[in-house]
Amino acid sequence: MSVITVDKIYPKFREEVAEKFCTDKNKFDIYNCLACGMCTAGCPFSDVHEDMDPRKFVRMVLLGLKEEVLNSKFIWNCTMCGRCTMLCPMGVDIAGMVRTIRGNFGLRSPGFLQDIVDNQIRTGNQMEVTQEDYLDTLEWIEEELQAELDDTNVRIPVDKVGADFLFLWDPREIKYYPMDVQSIGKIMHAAGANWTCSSEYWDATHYGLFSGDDEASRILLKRIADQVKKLKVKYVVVTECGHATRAQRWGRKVWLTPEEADYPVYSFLEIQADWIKNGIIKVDKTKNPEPVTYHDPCNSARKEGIIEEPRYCLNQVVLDFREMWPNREYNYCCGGGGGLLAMGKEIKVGRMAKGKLKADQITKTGAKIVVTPCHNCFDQLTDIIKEYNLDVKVQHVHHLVSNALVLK
Amino acid sequence: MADLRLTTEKVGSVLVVGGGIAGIQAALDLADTGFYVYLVESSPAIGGTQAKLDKTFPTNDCSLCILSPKLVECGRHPNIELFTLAQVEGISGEPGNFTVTIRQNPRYVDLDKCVGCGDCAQACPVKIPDPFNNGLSKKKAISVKYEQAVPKVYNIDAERCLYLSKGKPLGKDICRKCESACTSKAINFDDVPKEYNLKVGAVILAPGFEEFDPSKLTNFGYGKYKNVVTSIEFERILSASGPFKGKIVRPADHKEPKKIAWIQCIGSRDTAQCASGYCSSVCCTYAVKEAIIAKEHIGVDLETTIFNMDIRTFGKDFEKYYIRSKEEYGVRYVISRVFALEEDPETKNIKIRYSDLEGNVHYEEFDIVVLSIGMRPCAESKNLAEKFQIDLNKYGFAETSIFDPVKTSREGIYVCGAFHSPLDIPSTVVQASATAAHAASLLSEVRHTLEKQVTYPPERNVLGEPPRIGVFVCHCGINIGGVVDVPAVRDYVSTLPNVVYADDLLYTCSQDAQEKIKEIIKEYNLNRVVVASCTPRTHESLFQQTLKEAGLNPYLFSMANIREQCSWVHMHEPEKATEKAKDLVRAAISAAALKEPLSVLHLDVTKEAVVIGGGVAGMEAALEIAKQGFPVHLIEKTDQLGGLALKINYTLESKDVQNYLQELIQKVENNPLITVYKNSSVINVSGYVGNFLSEVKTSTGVIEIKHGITVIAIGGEEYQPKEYLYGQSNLVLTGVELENILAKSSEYLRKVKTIVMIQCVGSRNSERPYCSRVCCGEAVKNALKIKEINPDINVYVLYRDMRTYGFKEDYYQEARSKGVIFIRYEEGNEPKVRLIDENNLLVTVQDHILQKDINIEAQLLALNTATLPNSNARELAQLYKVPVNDDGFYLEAHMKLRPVDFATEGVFLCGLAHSPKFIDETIAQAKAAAQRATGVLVQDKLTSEGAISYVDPDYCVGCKICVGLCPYKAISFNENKKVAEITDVLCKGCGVCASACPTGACSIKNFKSEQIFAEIAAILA
Repeated sequence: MSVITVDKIYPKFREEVAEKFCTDKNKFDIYNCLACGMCTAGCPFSDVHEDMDPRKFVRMVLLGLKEEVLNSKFIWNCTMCGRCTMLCPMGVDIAGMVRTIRGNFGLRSPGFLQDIVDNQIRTGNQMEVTQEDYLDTLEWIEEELQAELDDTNVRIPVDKVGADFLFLWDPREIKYYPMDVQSIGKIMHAAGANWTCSSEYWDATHYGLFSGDDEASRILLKRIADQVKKLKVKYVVVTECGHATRAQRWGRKVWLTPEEADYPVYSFLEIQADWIKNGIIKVDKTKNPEPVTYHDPCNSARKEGIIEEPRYCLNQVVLDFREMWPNREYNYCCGGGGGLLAMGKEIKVGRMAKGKLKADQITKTGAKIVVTPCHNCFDQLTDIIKEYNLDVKVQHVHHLVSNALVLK
Repeated sequence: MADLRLTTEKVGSVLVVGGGIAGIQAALDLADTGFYVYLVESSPAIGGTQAKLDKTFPTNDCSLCILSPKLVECGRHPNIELFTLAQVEGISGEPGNFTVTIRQNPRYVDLDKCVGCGDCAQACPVKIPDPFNNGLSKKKAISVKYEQAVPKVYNIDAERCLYLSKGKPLGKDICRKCESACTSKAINFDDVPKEYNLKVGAVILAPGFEEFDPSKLTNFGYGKYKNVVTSIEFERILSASGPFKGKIVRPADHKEPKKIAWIQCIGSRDTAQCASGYCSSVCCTYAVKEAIIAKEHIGVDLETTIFNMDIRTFGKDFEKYYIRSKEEYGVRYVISRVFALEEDPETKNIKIRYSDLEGNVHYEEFDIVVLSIGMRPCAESKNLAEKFQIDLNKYGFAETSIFDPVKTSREGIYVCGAFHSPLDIPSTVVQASATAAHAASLLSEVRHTLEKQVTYPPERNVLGEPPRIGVFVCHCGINIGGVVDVPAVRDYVSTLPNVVYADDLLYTCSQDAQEKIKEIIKEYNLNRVVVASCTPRTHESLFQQTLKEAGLNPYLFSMANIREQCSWVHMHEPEKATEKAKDLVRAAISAAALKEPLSVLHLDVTKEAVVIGGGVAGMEAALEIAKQGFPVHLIEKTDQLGGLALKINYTLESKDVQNYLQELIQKVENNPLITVYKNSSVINVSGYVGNFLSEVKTSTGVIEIKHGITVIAIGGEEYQPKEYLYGQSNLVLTGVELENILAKSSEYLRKVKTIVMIQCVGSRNSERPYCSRVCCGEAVKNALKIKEINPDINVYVLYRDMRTYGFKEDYYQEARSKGVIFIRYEEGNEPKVRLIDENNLLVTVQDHILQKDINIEAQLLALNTATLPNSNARELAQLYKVPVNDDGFYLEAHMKLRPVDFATEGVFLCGLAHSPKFIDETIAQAKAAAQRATGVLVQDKLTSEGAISYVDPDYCVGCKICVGLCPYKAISFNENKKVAEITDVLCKGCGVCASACPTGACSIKNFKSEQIFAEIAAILA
């Protein structure tokens, strides 16, 4: 048996972690750990592959095994899904600890996670879309929408001062999935929304949430806060993306001052549910006859509590909705969280092993469509479908909503 | 000149709020010492949580069987007035003279008319969930709380009763079937709430606790998965009077389980999800008990698993119980907190995914999962606090102080039981007696002023009458009835000579059964009674009391033990057990026919006390007895008062022990009723309760003290370790030594970077298989102090189970939050300690989570060592004829319900002499012992035993064998007549003389040779 020698123990480590801990709760709660093992039992992946035991990780931090922790695979294997400590009796936040250690001890993440953060800081969006390309895309889709709806008044407003809300995109929607922009624009039009996009800072995503880089996180959030002031909107709506919702919503509390964070943030899921509920948009569920299941993104469901809204939408716009088990806040992470999708090949083996749980969950439902309101989950689910040969396709909630829209 | 001091006229009565075991004990203690008690209970009957439990740990006594005599006693005590369905509305006045307003809700059944026959419930068409069985079964809208309830009077649930909820408000005659069915005309639909204003001198709050409701923790699926039950529900499942008649089945499909799991700490030790950071103290030991009992019910093949973080069997004899559960019963313990439960929708099994200590994840299915729910402050907590203007702690329990553990923040109002903190039954009973002591000393000058005297009907002269015997055969729930064919025994005995009546009863010890026995005695003009049930040791006096109340001499009674001697020992042979029961009852009937009325003596009482031991326990006990007005002789072996507490500076809660101790010593030394004898010890004892004579060796010679009672409070000792280089290196200290250093000087720590503490040194091993209870708290206390002095010092505590029970858990949490590292080691894999150089030690221990050895370089090692019994304990035990247990601590009369009494009358115990405990627990116990002792001292006359020995001078040959043998020194030799003579008051009727007498001159009244021969002949017949 290997021995932990005296020189390996650096008791101050836990203080360093606690002091740098970015949280809206008590930083020092991590000390309270009873080592009870509830986290290891709660982590869906603790027996999926090696180096995946959250309790051992906390223990190493508390014992002061700094070197071992910083060199551990766990901190990159962890998807920061938060299931381990959602019920922690002592309020320890392991996902938060992982984030803190990733970002504050001079580590560089595997793969291209750090590049994404750097890109976003440098170009304003993580995919380096130029302003010209971005505005061209919006204009093009606006035209497409006008054609689809046979209405030249349809708009995708940009920099409209005094709109009700500022809508933030995922750059993937702009760069790779312009049809998503069309789907969302169609719903906005049907609802008669008074909305706007920003020409300058429009990227909802936030890889600082994964890398633990609080400095970058503050810059990114401040940009959005400034757009809110500049455009004089009442609130922000984030596109269907789990980590972006988390970063824009919870992030305000930890990276901005209370004055700066003086605006509400909603997920587009909440907006859609509200519009359907209040008859602002009309839908016909027979338009979506295939069996559908729903994957809760950890960031929007477990962490931000957006659980019933997407279910409400789906029950209104599809004929056959089936829950996977477990679900809601108990849902398993797809395996792609925590920035793992951006960590390259080395991490992919574990990521796919984790994905097996999700593959089995989906298969058991017999659904043909798995819906998830998150681009990270979307990509991971796409990889899972390929890896495990599943006969399903992935969609966002808005895809099914816009498809079910009944326009006057 | 007139006395201008304002004096309040004190009132000799006490209000007790709550009719659980705490309230019952407090009420009985006060009622037995000259006070009138109002006992207010919010439900329809007293009994509280203990009545719901199946067995009690660690003796596996039937919970209801040991409680029932107390219920009955409470129910018929002339100085206890019961208000059921009642609550306190308000209080005014001051200590010694309060006025309380009681509101009693309508029962709709007349307390005096109802005979508890149950005809009303038969007729009632409305079924509702039975809260006594936690909804696992149904009862009627008119019901009795439980079969053995006191009072055994039905009550109507007005919200569910068809007439009261629907008919009456509309003026319609709906249902009213109970009214027609009741032949006693006891139903009163016009019953209304009543208000009473009561004058009381003091108040005791004993409202109990609330069971934690696990349905708010969605991860366990409680309420959704039927085979997930709470521990209290499981008690009901185990209980013979429960929803499944004591057969363990799964609620989902009534199938017998093969695997049961317990999950600990549900609603306890959880700051984040339940806001209850404290430990509920009792759940570990009750889970051990439930697992053992389940195995006894179903058989050894039942698999039982207890998921836990630490097993906290810290109480007296609990650790041995835990060890037995593992070694004898094969109960499995998994150290792991369970994340979630999942039901298999088809089999209804419950699936658990858990991680073992190594980090291996396991999947396991169970038939039943029991959630070991914690104690919450009672629902009334806030309300009571407002009404009585007392403070609550942050969790909603009553705020008390360490050195005055049962006093609330308001003078004259005391608290005991689970409203004080999560407590087990013995601690609750101790506290109850301690509150009684407080009330009694506050009101001692008005003692006896409101007391009502007991009068029994004149004794019927049965001499010359042919025997008319009534036989009552007890089912004892299923304890007897589950094995012995009780109706067959009943039918059989009814055919025997002299038997004019025979019946079977579910619990013969219950209040309603006593009423029934009395009625039958009158109706059938019985002159002898036989009860076939359990042991006369615990229950004989209850039935004798019933005989007295029916006008029969209590010795016209005989008992057959068909539980211990039949159903328990012949559990697997029901037919033979039944035959044996018939034989035993037949024998008892034959003996009963020959029983004669006996008279008793009334003896004077020496109203003085001897307290042995001048530590905290002895001094508190002495002071309490003195406060109640009785002289005390306090005997201390050393030259100073204070005992072990002299070595302790402060408590875990940072309270100054020395300050308290000096004040206590002052109070004791200044009390005119207390005489302190230092450098003294008892060397010889004679006499008996009420009239002891102790010879005490003092520094000035041997003196004799006459006293009525004795309190043994000789304390304990510290274990001097041989382990871990103690005595070989000055870097190794005991915990007590470390505490002393920390209290006196922080200078010592100047060069210290790391301190390691090792727990269970000398405890929980094969030599001393008990837990010393205080050491975990001591370690946490020292760790916190170190962190307070210098937060940069690293502190490691190497433990086996952290047993910081109750609110002590808060300090354990605080220690962790300050960075103290706790590492668990297993017995057999103890830490290794090596000296590196004169300033440094190397401690190696396996970290339980990383499963790797960890080397810790420390400059100081503290060993938290065992508490030992006093080395004089056995010697003194012989003098007072009291027992010690295997560990050398004194053994009380009953672990649950008589925790400070010895079986030897007039001798009491408290403090470390009883078992290791914290200072607040010692204080409560000392006050309790004082109160119990006062129970003897307040009496002007004690009643002697009737069944004593006598010597027939015609047969005595003067051999003197009996004189030497008598353990009570009750036989003297009359030199003139040359015969042995008995001093009646000293004789306890033990029978040693009778068995030794070569001529048959000695015999025991009530156990005469012809009676015994008749019994034997009947058995052989």
